Amino acid sequence: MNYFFLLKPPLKNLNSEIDIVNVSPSPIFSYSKSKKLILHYFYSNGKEWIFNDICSLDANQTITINSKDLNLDLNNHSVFFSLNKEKQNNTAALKDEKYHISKIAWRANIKIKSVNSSTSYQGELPGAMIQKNLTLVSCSPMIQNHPSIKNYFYLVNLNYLPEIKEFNLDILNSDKKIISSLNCYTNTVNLIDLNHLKINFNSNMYIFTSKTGGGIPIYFSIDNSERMSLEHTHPPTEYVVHGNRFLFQRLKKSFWKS
Amino acid sequence: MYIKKLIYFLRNFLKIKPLIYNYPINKYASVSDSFFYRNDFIKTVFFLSNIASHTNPQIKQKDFVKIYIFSNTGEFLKVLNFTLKPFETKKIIFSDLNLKSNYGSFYVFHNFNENELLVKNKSFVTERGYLGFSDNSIFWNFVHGNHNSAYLSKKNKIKSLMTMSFFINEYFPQLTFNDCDKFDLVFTNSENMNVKYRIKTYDSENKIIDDKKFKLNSFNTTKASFENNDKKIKFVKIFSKMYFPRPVIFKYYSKYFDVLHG
Repeated sequence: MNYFFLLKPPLKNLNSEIDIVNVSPSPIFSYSKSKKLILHYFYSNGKEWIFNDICSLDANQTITINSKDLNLDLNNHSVFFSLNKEKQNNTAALKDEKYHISKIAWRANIKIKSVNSSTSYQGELPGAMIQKNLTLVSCSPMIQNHPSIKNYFYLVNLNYLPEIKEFNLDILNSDKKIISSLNCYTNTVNLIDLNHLKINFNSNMYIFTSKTGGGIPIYFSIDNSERMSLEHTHPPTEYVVHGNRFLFQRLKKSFWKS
Repeated sequence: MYIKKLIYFLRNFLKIKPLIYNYPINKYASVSDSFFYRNDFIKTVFFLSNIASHTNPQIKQKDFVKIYIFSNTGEFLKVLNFTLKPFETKKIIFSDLNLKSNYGSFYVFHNFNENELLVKNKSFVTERGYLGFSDNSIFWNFVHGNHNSAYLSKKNKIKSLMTMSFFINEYFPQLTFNDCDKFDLVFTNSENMNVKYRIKTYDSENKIIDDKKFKLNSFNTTKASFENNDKKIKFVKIFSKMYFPRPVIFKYYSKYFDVLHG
């Protein structure tokens, strides 16, 4: 199964939205058929996972949820979504249910919207990730250096245990020099305002790395006229195809974390 | 290898445990997405990185890159050659290239000397990097590459890795379209043959609104455009003998646009 999430809007005039789709992207590559499931949103209070059911979603049905619909302050809660076979109660550990299994991932459309525009990417948080000790190496050319542009970084972390722990994240340049060190938290949609770091982002590539935590790295930019961009970086395995891709992930991570 | 290729072909053709992407025949091959560029009211930038520094950064080596550019009608326009230093990333701005086509496709193939580890592990480097699109050439809206579309043969021929079947397959982009005024679905064809597509659009009750069919010739690119001022189109489905016809999507709003891979 996959989990999904809402991004905290970094500015007051923006809001967050998600299309959650109970339709297979590609029947031939899906081992699971679409069936009626219960859509929940959940968040951690540090001790347990607090679950709320939203609705049941029929096979081949889609729902769009705006942050305003949930009556939840995204500054105080990092909100995740799951589609489950049964109604979920508050729990001390998330369970990775085996469905929506597919060679082509079942994704959601994760959006940030303004009055006149919208930006999005196709995202998911694979259930297999929540039991792992994650680390991070994200190489990004997506930080834009112009006086009219603001840049933000999201790191979406989810673990099956609800504990909210701090971990360190470094921003490096391509010479491996640490240009900033930041704190992130587990079970959180971490939002980092890169504009407050007083870094002149004038290179074509930056490396966001952590030895003790990880997640989905997402880059958001907005200009004074509300042009917006939202995209994640590839995990290190995506620079090779076929064969032993995880070897190359290990090589890349060990280089940037050493 | 040729026997394996025949087995994969039959599996794909007959829809028996098909592959998403074929395997390159050349064990030293470099793989690329079939990237989309445009030079109309929206401009394109591509961030070209030394990929050897991503796959095995301990070895600091140069990356010799060839970028093959095609027009929307499949005409080969030019090849660009670059030598990247270790960890170097370059911006390729398409409006600076004096291309005679307003849109089309391009392929990025990397080559570096010390690649034995890739060969030993039966892996291939693949370029699925980052594209930006802009209406003012200042602010860039990013999307990453999303296919392992093709590889470069020993004879410098682009060979498709996209898998095809005898049967029609469907692909459902997992997003809604009823928030935008207009959208384009962009398809490129890295095959040496025509590929037919059929796109059906649906309203919120899953009733068909539109049914478009088109044929894409070899190395052609098409932008299938859909007006949606009344916001009736909510979903699209794509039908093709190609197993994974995932498009690049542009959604247009009253101001600006969104770009994503479907």
